[in-house]
Amino acid sequence: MLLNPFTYHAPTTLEEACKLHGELPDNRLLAGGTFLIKTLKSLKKKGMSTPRHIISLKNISELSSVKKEWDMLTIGAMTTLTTLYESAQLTGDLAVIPSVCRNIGTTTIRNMATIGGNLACRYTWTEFPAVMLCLEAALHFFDKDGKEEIVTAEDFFKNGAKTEKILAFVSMKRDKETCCIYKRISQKSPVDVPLVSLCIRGGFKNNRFHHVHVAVNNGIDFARRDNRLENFLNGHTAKDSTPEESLHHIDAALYDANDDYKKQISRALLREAVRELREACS
Amino acid sequence: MTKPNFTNPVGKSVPRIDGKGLVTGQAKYVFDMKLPGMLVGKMLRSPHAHARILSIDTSKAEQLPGVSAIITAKDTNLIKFGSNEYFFPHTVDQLPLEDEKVRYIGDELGAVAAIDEETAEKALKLIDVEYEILPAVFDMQEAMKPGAPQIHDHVRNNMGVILPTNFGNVERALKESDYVREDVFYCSDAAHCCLEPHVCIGRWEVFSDKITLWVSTQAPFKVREALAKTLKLELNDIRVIKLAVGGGFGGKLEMLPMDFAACLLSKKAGGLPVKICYSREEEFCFSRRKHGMIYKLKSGVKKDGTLMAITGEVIADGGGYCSYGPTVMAAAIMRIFIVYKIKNFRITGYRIYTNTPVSGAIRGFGGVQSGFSIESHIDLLARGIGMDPVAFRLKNITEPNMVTANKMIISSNGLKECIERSARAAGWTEKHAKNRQGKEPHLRRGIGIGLAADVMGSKMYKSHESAGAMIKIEEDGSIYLFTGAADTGQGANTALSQIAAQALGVSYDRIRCIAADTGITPFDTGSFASRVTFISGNAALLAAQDAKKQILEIVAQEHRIEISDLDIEAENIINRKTSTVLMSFDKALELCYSFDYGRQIIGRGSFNPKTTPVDFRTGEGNVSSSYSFEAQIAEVEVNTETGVIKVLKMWDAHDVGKAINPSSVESQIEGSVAMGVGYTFYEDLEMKNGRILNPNFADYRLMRSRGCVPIETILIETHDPQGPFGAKGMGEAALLPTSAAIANALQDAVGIRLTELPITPAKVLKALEEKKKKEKEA
Amino acid sequence: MRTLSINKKTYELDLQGHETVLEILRDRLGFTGTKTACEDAECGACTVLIDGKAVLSCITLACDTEGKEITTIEGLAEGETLHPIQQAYLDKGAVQCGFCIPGMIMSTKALLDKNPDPTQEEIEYALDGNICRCSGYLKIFDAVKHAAKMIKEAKTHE
Repeated sequence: MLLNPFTYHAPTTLEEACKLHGELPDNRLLAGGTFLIKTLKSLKKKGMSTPRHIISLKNISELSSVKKEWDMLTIGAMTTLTTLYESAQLTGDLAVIPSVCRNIGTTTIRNMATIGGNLACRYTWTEFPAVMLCLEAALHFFDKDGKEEIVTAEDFFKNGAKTEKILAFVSMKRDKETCCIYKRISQKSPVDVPLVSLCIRGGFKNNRFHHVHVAVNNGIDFARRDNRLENFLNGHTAKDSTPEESLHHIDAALYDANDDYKKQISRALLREAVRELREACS
Repeated sequence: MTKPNFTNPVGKSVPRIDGKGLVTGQAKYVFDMKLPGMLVGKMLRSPHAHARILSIDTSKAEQLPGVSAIITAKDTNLIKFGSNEYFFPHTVDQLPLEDEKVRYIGDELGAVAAIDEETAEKALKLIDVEYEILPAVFDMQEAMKPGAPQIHDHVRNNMGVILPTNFGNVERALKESDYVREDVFYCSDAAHCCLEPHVCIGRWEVFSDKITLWVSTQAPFKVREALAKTLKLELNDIRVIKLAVGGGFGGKLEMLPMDFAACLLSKKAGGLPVKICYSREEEFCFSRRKHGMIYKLKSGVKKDGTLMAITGEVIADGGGYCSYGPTVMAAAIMRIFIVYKIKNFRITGYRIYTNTPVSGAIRGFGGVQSGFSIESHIDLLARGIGMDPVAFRLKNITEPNMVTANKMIISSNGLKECIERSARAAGWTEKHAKNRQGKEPHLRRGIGIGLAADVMGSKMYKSHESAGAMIKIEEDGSIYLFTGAADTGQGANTALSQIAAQALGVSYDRIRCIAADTGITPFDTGSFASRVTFISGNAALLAAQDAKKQILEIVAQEHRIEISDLDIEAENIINRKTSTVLMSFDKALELCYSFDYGRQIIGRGSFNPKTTPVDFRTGEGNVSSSYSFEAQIAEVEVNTETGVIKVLKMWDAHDVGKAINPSSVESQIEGSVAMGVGYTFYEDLEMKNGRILNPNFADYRLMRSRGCVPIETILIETHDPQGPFGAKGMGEAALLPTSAAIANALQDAVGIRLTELPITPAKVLKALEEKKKKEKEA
Repeated sequence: MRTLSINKKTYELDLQGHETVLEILRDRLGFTGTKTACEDAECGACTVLIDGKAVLSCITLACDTEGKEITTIEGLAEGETLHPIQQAYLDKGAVQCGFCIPGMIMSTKALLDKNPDPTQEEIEYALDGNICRCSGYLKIFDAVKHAAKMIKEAKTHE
């Protein structure tokens, strides 16, 4: 037996799911299962208690679609990483999403794991938070009465989880003026979680950067914005030396963590990212 | 008979004999097995690294519904087991269930059998063990110091194994050298990571079949021997059966307490079968692991590149018990003689007990650690005198038909050709020391070489190293090959069947291979030391020749022809004198089983390799009947900004004697290199206070399809006079030089030398910084 | 009672909520072709296809697969004829200990069903969830390419 017994629920509408989630005592939401089921196994092994009710969101079809209306993209929380990876709608600055999906887990994991699960689990080490910060994504939560609350990705990662609500959609505005670059380095082997990852989004016009967002994930804390570097880059006239110069204008505490290698590597990645951002936008 | 597809199969990549079962999921592993009434067994383990067992109270657990049997040391004969009884009796140091002391976290002191896993686990928690916690020591260098906690009462300073080797006159040779250098290398430990975990089902029916143990093993006969000894039974009381095995890599080479426990639990449970299956975490923490080693070397060379002397010291982290420690130490040191002509040699090996999980056999038997150390050191020596590493090696390698300083007898030896062919294929002269860059200036390219040689067999089972085989031919011409050899995925059953078919002169598809069942098949020491193709292969060859002789005797009698004029070729009995076909093989078998003759064809073969007595304590003697050789070249690209090393390609030229099945041979090389690359860059058991911190595939990373390395294999066939059809063993050697070839390529690329495994990007960047600093100062 | 469809046959089972597809296959129905080397979503040996997608049966709840088609290694061969992918693995010597092979073959099938002519990089990506400790993967890549070729040839002959 891999898991402790629980009662399984499979609502078919978001409304029903919200209600169950609000009413059932000691319940957990099941999305792709790559995090939850693993965790339940490990809790069982350690002899710790596990939830009494599992609410599977798999049968709620409205949650697994990618929709584009004008410049607004809405991704259902149950959309798998493989679907995102293969989605033809993610172009321009949003092309960063499929490229990030490629690095998460393995094919079998990507076939199961969902973007909602990825974000709601709030791992400190995964790839998406930094990207969501840069894309200024909004997370759409629903409470037991079906009332929607929209939280920015930045607030979500700063202020804590919303376990009492269901994350149903992630939305973001596509900005044709900007490009988005993502950089990472693996912990040990080529297929591995990132040791450090960072995302830069911005535009480049008349040889100047604008609308720059920089978010870094040092693998210890949640991804955070580097406002200092953003301020430096915004309006900055690009020169060949800009990538190197940017390194003198970073919020060092964000990158340094407690590790010399991370410190060096994040600078190398940053340098490359700034250079690529300029090239991509030019 | 079905249409014969594979006459003269030797040298052809015939499909695996068990292949269809494996690709359809029908092949059965012990992991898949279920028997009526089967109970689940679990081991009771110590939570402490070092403690005295004061008392064990199982009464509460026994009362738990669903618990069928509980055993502790008091149910046993208190007989120790070990893997080197013959040469190192004092290293027989582990009880199947410990009675006085526990020596590492996870040490076994009891076991439970229950109706299901949950009940067994609950029962374990109800067993009260009172411990007196003893001071523990986790670091091998600390454990060697006087005053360190003593882990085994009979061993001072925790020096479980000391191997002093000394040949020639080292002092004089070093004095006569033009260049002497000292290096220290640090080799991390590692795990086997067989995909099928350790698993067994024991059934002990006292009044009928006695013991049957189905076990995922590389050495059923060694398991049987250890069981018979510790349970005080006759060998024929115990039937050990191997099914399909999901990888071994040295980790399934001995009886573990779980095997013993499954049998004894079954006896206590009235003969109900008991299955014990390790979880992945147990597999990482409580099976066996690779010895971490510190390899100190000091060697001297002449200006012309002549290797004058090698001296040094090897310290190995042994963990709580000896396991295969002595052999690992011997192999880590003595292999040097097979590769290099060296007269003056003195290395002392110390295998140290620590309160950590037990180190044991793993593919390469210490050769991976010594391969990294020696081949890095050799490169540094060559650099020291400004000589090309390939030229330096060519000057010092062993030759065909020579006797080494420690009296190893080398017959066929294709090492020179291995070096030349791999160097040519890799473009060594165009690439080495050329300060090359990749697409961008911060991507630097380099190339490096490493050599290795390997035994095919090692005297680990008492005094002999033999293998037996039987060929049984049925009246319709279909054939059974019975071998004791344990195919763990390398394709032994296929290669042995090819050898038998070739020797019989029939098609390979006539053969069905029945292997590794101690109640049915002949004896075989097991799958280790790259011995199966060579030793078990020779046994299969002899059995086939014997069966063939029996057939030809009858044909000769019937046709009144001298038997010496008869032969079997491509499924036909032929008269060699007249070059005519007398009859088909099928017809010949009809004749054998006819009214007139009615003779069963049962061929037997027994092969004991020609070796001389080896004294593992001094390292003198000829451990193997022949030796295999290889040269491996790595080309890397180093990103000087991130420290990440990309292996662009590896070349491996391997003297395999004769490739019985070229595809299988390539597979062994590719698999070894992949393992070596993982070991070089990321495979490492992280440990704190005797506890393994990364016992899962998320934290202990293995090579995956993304990130794998292109490998070109070059097979060199030297046709060994003693090998079956000229074949030699080769399953391990390709893993030995990989780390060094990469480290040497790294130095060629960016001028840094890393002496500690694993080679991580962080270490690369740090070394690059230091190099920059030094250059500035200069 | 819930109905599962496995290798095109239906099974009525009194599924418990916590039971995984892996447990149903191996322990309840005896389909032991599907392996597991970690039970922890890392090794890929438990890979099966659910509606054509390669997923890990050790973290898939059986209840979640109701109304979907599960395909395991036992569902590939037809009678005594191996599936071209199985044949290719055999022909190219891609099989050693065999423990990873059922999962590896299922991942290969998911890949080739979707992408009949994958590049080397696409193959490496598609199989990155399946650990093989024996082979170094090179012969497995050969097998995937060979299988793609065989499937294509079989289609042109139809």
